[in-house]
Amino acid sequence: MSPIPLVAVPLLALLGVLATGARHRVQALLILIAALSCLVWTIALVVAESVATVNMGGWPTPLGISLRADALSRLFLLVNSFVFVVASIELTTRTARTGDDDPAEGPSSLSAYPALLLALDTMFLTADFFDFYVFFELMGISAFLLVMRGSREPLEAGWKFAVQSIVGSLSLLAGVSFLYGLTGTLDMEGAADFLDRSPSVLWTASLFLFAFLLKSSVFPFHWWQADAHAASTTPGSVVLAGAIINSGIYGIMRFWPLLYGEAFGWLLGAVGIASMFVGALAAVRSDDAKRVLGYSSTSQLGFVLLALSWSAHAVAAFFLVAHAMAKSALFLATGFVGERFGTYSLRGLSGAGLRHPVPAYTYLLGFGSLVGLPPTVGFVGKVGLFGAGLESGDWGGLALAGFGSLATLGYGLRAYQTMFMGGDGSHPEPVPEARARFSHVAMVVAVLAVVAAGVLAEPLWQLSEAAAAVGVQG
Amino acid sequence: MNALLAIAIGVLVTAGTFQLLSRELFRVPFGIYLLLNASNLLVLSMAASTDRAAPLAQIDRSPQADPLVQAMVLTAIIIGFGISTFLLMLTGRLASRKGSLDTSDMRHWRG
Repeated sequence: MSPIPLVAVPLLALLGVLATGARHRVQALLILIAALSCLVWTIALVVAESVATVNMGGWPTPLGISLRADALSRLFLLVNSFVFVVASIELTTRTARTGDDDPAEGPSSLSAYPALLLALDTMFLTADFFDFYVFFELMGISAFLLVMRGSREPLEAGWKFAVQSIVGSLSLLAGVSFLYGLTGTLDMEGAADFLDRSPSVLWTASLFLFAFLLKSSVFPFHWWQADAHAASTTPGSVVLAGAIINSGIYGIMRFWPLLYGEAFGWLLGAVGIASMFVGALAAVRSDDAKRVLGYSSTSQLGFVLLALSWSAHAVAAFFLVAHAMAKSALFLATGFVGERFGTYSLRGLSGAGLRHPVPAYTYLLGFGSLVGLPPTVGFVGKVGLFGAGLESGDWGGLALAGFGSLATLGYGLRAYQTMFMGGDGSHPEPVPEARARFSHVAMVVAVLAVVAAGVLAEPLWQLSEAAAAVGVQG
Repeated sequence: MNALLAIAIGVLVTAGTFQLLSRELFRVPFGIYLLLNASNLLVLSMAASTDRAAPLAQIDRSPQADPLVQAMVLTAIIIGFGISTFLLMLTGRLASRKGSLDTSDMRHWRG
């Protein structure tokens, strides 16, 4: 089985989208077909459990670039494809009813979506670290275009996102070139043989970590995320929180043996704990529903970094998948309610859910997954997290993770009560022209997946453990 | 020669970071551009690394430069060219949208 369709299909979709100008209905359908094909092919790769390798141009591995779908890649490709399917269902249902998804300041075509799918798929597949940098950059540029499609000051949010992200990319370029200078090879697997624990390796590792922590949006590099979410459209936020953020954690896990991850365990733990609480506190203080979810992502990725600091890679990968699925459902519910009533302010939306039960239940199950309530997938993730903490013997980190979960409950419950349960007894007025625009399909798919992955968690857990084994050995 | 290259990279990074933190809007993409040039010089300087084996085959014993670095730096230059053009255009749109060249006026989103 070859991984080439995962690269070729988004590329063809990108060409199709660029060729159709501003016909959003056709473009959304193309993106949906591409995302569904990638999901089906990824599931086939996962079930086949084969490490599909393709050498580009026929050159063998140390000389040429190869695309390799090992367990770590397969896990991230799976969650990536799922998030894109959900986002493209939302895009399709929106454009089908009105011919457009949102008033846009950015590009007139939906080209950011297939470009992101292409960049992320190739980034997860490549076994050459300079190729990784090239597609990391492509992902970054497509992400700026994605954020600028919104309707609330997208230029300013996109500009701030772009400047911060480019600084991270330059750090990654410096790190990649140092790694090449130290090892003489661009192959991820072969490079580990040439490294020792000299100061230059630790400097290289710091450059990589800065780039990946910036992309994962954890404290103190999380400043771009809340603005980007607040400014972008609903499918854009789904892709941003469910796919783009994962690339930072993928980088840390993929480069773990090269970067002597154990040496940085204390740093990852400290950054993780700080992110947990800073994200939760900022989410509690915020009045904008999408910013709450943006800060919530910072908090949840703090948990993932804490798991990585305990060297519990399987737990970290599973928790990340759980977060991506839950966050998709949450953003879809928030987007429905926010655009239906014309405001994203929590106070302005008070009581919005009383006539809309589907988004309300979606939001409830979504933040239940973030907190760790059964039968959602987040429950399995939290059990794994606390288990890993007990095994590692880090009592302080474990206690703080417990408090972090309570903090998650704090902001989630506050947002849910205010938006959906009518905190002060008032009802917002629906925006008349928004009446026809929205459907429940995408959020139902997302929330069913959250519950199904919680009940039938075993295959996903086994894939996470296989991914962890690959990540630690390199 | 290597020392000169290292000093040049240091000067570019310093100047670029200083511009990145500027209050005037158009200095920020120029700061990015300086940092980009510094990174490309850094990639180029990896050809001078002498404490590792030759990349493909050891033909003779004389000190040789690494040709793979040239390919990498070309790719990095092209990517950087695309990014800095995009950022410059974005900065122009932002300035005309806000009617101001002062970054203190870009306060709608406060992080």
